Amino acid sequence: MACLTYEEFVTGCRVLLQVSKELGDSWVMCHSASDSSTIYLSKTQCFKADLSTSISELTAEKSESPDEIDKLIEDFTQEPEPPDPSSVSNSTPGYIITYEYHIVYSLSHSVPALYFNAWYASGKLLTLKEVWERVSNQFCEQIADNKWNSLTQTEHPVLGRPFFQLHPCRTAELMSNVCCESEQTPKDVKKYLISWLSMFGPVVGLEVPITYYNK
Amino acid sequence: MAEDREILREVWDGRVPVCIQLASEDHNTLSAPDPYYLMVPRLSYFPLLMDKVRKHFLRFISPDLHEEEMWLESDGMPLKWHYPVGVLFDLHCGGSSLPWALTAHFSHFPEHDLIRCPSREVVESHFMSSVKEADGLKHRGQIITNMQSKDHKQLWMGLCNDKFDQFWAINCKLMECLPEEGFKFIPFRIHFPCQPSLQRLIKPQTDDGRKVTLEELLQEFLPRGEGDRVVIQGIEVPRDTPLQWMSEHLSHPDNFLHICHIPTQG
Repeated sequence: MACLTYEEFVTGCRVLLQVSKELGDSWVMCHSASDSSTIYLSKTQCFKADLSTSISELTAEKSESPDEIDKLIEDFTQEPEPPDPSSVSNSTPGYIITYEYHIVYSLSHSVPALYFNAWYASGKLLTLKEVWERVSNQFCEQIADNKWNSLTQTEHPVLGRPFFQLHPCRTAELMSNVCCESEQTPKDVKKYLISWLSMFGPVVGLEVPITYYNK
Repeated sequence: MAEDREILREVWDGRVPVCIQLASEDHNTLSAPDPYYLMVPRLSYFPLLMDKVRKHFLRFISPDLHEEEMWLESDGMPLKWHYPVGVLFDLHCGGSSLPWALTAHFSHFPEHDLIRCPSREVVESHFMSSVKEADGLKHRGQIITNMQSKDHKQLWMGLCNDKFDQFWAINCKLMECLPEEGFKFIPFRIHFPCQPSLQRLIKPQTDDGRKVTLEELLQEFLPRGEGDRVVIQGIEVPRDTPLQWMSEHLSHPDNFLHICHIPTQG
């Protein structure tokens, strides 16, 4: 079973942060308000979703800088014009959905865990049902089979408020198939974290570019 | 373990008195509904206990609120339904004035503070998740993973239906350990009235075999003022009690020790 100690997790996060900066990605490190030694990583990503289309046509607009995110929000958060019966509209209004991903350490399972929240431009949180519906088709089967044990809304262990979570209870088992180092070699925490993120992230819309492996 | 079994029963039978009234902004009838009084089990969760309360208030609210999720509030604080009833009581009421006065709401669900609970399945999922976490800490998850799903179900049904024997027939397996070793780590959370809960790692024994006590846990993880109250299952447990014993006897059904830290007013 491949686990991480908290110290290994922190080291891995620092390395991931470094790689993120080099690649122009937007991960940041955050601290607990009551205990600065408790850290987690955070990244925000915006998706443009046309509500009238199905999940498979969801497109992601990846923003690389805070300025671009602001502009994207500005462009899409203008309320649609009230319907005018005398006019014909060509397209349905697009909606922006913001995802905020957190990489947090699970003390109980000794592994990283992926938490996230998702909300509309109005600030309204997506429901669990809406979040499930956005899971891409290739992962739907796995999630649907074990729905209540895979993706649920839970309390963020650092922030103490509701977040969605991909359950970490099988992470160690899954990671042991990926990381087969012997006990003697020092653990490659960067490889562990990036492999882990590549397995779990895409389920909820977080892609990990191949360039992460090359750094 | 057998001679302390009556303590398990006492903890299981713990009840607190509540009085629930309907939020004034949600009732739309001329006469206000009567408040609803009931005794609730400390070890249970509010969503499992509110069916009759909800039905009682339904006729006093506007029809467009009928499908809305009911949520509870104590003195302005939304209640986190995913915490056991007893923990919420010790944190928010502490017996200062009984019955515990709660307000039921059907509108303005505080979605940034409260997890949604549209069905009992959500409570079950949360409960089983906690049980797995606790076993992850105690036994690296070996015991819960090797249980059949019918055993998981029995734990849940035992809790839902208030069946002590049915519950403990399975739970005793989660409490197994070699007497000279204890659990790997003790599953615990420290709760505060106004800040996020705290979870840390602690072993029940030092390397030289000495049993670690509640006092040592508190000293390690809490900045404490004089006279702060530390309450577990509604009681101020003697601080020299060994954590291993507490974990076996004072845990909630989710197998966690829920420790409420209530600072004295300044």
